Amino acid sequence: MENILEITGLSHSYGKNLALGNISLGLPKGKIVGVLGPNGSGKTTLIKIIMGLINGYDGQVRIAGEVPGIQANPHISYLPDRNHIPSWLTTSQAINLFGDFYPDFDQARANDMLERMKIPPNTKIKTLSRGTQEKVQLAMVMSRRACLYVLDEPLGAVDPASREFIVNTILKNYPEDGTILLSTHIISDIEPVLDIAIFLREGEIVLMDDADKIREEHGKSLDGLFREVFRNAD
Amino acid sequence: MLIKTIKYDFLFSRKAFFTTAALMIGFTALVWVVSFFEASITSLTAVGLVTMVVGIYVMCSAGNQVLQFFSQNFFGDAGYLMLTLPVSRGKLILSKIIVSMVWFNFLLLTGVIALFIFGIAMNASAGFSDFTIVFGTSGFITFIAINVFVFTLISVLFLAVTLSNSYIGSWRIPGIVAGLAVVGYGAAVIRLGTLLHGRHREMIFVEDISHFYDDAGNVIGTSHFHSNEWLVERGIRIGRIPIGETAYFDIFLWGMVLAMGLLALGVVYVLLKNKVSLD
Repeated sequence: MENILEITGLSHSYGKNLALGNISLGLPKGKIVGVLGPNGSGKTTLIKIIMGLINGYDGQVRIAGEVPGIQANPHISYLPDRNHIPSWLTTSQAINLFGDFYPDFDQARANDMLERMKIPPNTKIKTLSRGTQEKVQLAMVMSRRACLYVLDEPLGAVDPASREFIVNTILKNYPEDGTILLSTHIISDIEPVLDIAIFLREGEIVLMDDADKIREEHGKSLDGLFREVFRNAD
Repeated sequence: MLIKTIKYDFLFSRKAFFTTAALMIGFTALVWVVSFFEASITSLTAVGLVTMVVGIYVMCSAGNQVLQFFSQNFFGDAGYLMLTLPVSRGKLILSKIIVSMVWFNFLLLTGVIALFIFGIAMNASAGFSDFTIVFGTSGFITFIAINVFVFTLISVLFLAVTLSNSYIGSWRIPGIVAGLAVVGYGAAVIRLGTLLHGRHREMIFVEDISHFYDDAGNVIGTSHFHSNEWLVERGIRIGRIPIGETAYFDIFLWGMVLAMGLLALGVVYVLLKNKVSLD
C-alpha cells in the first residue's frame, strides 16, 4: 500500500540539543496514528517539520510524494497546539477564510458542526472559552477533505467532557482513505481509536507498531505501557 | 491566491490602521478646539505644531503598525495559519508589502486632508501653499518618490523582524533594533561609498569615457554633469520636473533606495523559505 507520509533518517537539533534523532517511518492511507510521548519528546518538532514550519533538518520527508511546504500544504489539514485562527474573526469569517484558500473545504459540514456546538454564526472567536475555541478550530480542520490530518495535542487544553466530543468529531469527519496523525500525552481518551502507535522519547522512536499488536504483545493497554515506559525513563 | 491573501491581509490590519487615522484626526481637532481658548496659539504656530506632530505620528505609528502586522502574521500564532496556507512565501510577502503600502498612503492622505481642513479652519496664511511646497510642484513624481522610500522603509522593517526571529530567537525587540541598526549602517556605507565613487569617477574619468557612458544611455555610472547634459540634450524630462543639476543625483538616489528595498525583500524571502522556524 502506498504511504501518505514517508520519513527517512530525519534528524533535527536546536543548537546543541537533539530534538529528533534519525527517525524513519511510513504511514499508510486510512489509519489513525498516535504519536505518543511526554513533553519535550519531539512530537511538535516532528509535526512542524511535516508542515514546513521548520527548515534546516537532515533527512527526507515526503507527504503524498511532495516535500513539506507549498506543494504539500494542499494535502494536509493542520491543527496546531495553539489558536492559529485570528481570534477577532467571527466564526463565519473563519469559515470563509478556509473556504477561500482550500478547495476541499466543506462549508456545509463546518456550519453543521458549529450549529451542533450551539455557536451562532457571527460570534467572534475571542468571545468563546478556550475549550470552545479549540473545538471551532477542530471543526475548521476536520471540514477539509484532506489526505492527511495532522493534529498537534488536540486534547491538550480541554476538559474530559470536551475530549469525548473532540474524539467523536475526529472519527465522524475524516474520510475513509484519509490518515490522521495526532500527537498527545493524554493516551486514555484516544487509545480506543488508534490503529498505530508511535512512542517517542527524547527525539527517538522507542516503539512503533499496530496498536492491537502492542496490546497483545505487552499484555497491557497503550496507556499502561506508556506510563511504564516513561516512568522508567525518568 | 494573491488577491485572496491581500483581502485577508486588509482584514487582519484594518483595525490598527483605522485607529491610527482616527487618533490623528482626533489630535488635529483637539488642537483646533484648544486654540479657541488659548489666545497664545496663533494660527501659524498651531499649523506648524500640528504638521510636525502629525508628520512624526504618521511615520512612527505607521512603522509600528507595519512591524506588528508583519511580526504577528509570520512569527506569532497567526504564522501557523499563514505559513501553512497553500500560498508561496513570495506571494505572502508581496501581499504584505502591497497592503502595508496602501495603508501607509492612506495614513499619509488622511494626514494631508486633516491638515488641509485644519489650515482652512484656522484661517492660516501658511495653509495650503505650504503643502504644495512640502509635496512639490509635481504631485505625481513626489508621490512616486515618497512611495519608493516607503517601500524601502517597509522592506527594511520586514528584514529587521525576520532577522531577529531567524537568528536571535527570544531576544526579539533588541533583535529588531539591532537589525534596523545593521541595515541603517549598511545603507550609510552604501551611500557614502556611492558618493565617494561618484566623485572619484568625476575626477579620474576623462570626458571621453563619460561621454561613452552618456551615449550608451547608461545614466547611472556617469558624472552628475554629463548625465544631466545628456538628458537635456535629448529633451528627456521626468514628468513636469525641469532637468536641474540634481536630476541625476535624484535618479541615482531613488535607484539606490529602490535597490536596497528590493534587496531587503529578497533576503526576507530567502530567510522565510529556508531559515525561519516557528517556536
